[in-house]
Amino acid sequence: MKKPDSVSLLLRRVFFCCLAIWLGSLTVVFGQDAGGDNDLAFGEERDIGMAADPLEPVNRVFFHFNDKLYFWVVKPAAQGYSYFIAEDVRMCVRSFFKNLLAPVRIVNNLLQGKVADSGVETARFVINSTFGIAGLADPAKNEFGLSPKDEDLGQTLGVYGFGEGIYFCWPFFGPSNVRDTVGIAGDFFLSPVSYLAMSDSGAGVAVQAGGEVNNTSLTLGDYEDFKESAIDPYVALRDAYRQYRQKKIRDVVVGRDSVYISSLGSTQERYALNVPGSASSGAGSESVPADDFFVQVGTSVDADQVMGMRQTLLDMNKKAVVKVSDRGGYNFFSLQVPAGRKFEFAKQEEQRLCAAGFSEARVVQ
Amino acid sequence: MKEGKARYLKFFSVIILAVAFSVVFHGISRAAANDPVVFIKDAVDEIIAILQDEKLAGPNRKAERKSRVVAIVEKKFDFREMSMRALARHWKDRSPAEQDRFVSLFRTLLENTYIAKIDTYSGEKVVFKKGAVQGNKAIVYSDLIRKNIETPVNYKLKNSDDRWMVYDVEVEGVSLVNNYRTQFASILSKESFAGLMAKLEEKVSKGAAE
Repeated sequence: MKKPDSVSLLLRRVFFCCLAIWLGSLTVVFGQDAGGDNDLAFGEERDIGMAADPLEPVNRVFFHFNDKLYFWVVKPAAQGYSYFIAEDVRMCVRSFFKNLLAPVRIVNNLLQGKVADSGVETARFVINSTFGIAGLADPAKNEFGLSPKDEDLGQTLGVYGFGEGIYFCWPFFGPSNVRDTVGIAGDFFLSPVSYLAMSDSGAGVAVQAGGEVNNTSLTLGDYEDFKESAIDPYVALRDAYRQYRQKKIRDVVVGRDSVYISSLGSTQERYALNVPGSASSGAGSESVPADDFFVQVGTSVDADQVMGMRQTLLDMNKKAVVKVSDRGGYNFFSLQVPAGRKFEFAKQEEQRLCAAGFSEARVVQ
Repeated sequence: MKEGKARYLKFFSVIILAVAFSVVFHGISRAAANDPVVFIKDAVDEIIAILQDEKLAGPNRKAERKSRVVAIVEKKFDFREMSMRALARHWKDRSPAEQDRFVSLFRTLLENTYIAKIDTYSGEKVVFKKGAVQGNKAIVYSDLIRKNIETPVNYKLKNSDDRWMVYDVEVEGVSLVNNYRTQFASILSKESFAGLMAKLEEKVSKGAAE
């Protein structure tokens, strides 16, 4: 008796997923896509246009619902909870929940072709689940210098070229759009909490709500500040969500430094370097490993000194220098530090450079 | 999944610190003053020093503490540029008097809602990652570390008359100016400019009352 039930349940789920994806691709037509990718970090702020929000009246109702939910339920619960539970413990609980979602990040990094990042997330999961005592601590970052590579299915779909579709403000879940809603539905299958919810929906909801209250207890005041700063909080939240997601999809700021790199690539390069292991750089963006540190040279240094410095760096690290760029009076060396190394390590390079006579050298991340 | 929600919400409160922290330069050497990273860093250090000054922590000196931070911020932030960018195409249709009024209201709004919040400072740390300059524009990349979580905060600066001014702050990839621009555009699509000004004034006077 039981088996057909679960099969039909699965079929129903698959059907809804397909429906959602189909709906998503349909509504993409209504959604305005982001403009061209030719903006520089220095250019005008990217105007992402108005949101496609045909459901605004309904969304506003849910926005108010969530607003009241926060002030009447979540906030008092979080306040009471934080009164009894020490902040350290709450931070551990937050790490624990974050660690639980590692499969989502591992899979989505892979789906986006970010194999190395996927490996980093896998390593983080293994390290934090063992040394970090089931994810309560984050030794992967603190001891091994492995920072999280946050990806989810919504971002993956964005990378694949799906537009955001129309904007939703879901009750309980808050702002989203068609693409990210489909993404959350997909990621649901990679979350351990979901499997708990499938076997015991009450427990699943309780765990999810508990995690929410815990995280809220660490960010109390954020929502209040947001509301106070906004003239129209609904529009402000919608815009913040869209900006945040678009930048995440493009891996700007939040992930690796592609803005920085692509703007480097588009500046005129004065020195063509043929350094082993370096990508021969032309115009356009190229992906550079996340663990790059730059040696920045002051304006008073002329080209000869810069070239001398490059040689010094090469002598010290066989594969150090990737390229030198000139940008508005600044010369940048890109110094590659092996993955997983920390900023402090790069700082040692700076000291060595200073010791070698380049007193203006400064390593920046 | 759900975690995302908290992160961009953080934008709004973190930006308080970001605004409060991006500040002034005096007593810096000539070379350093031309380096946006150095001068934002110096400003941050200065603000943190004010916030950590126990003599200023007393309730009766709150106003003084605020005015000191505001004074620093006003020297560092180009509120006119921010207003221009936030109003975008609506800016040039306004008379100079209207523009000035708008700048003043917008500045007060930002001050009330953000700078006043420095009272909530609780040992946040700021790590400066790098700066980049192109022509008369610069970006300073930093991380605000709050309760073990890093929040990227980018300052966008413009150089005029040989000094840098901040014209936008991005927190978690969310641009302050863009966020207000969307709000203003949305309001102006339904109402007149006078209606927007009324809303701003109401918001500002409510903030001042608190």
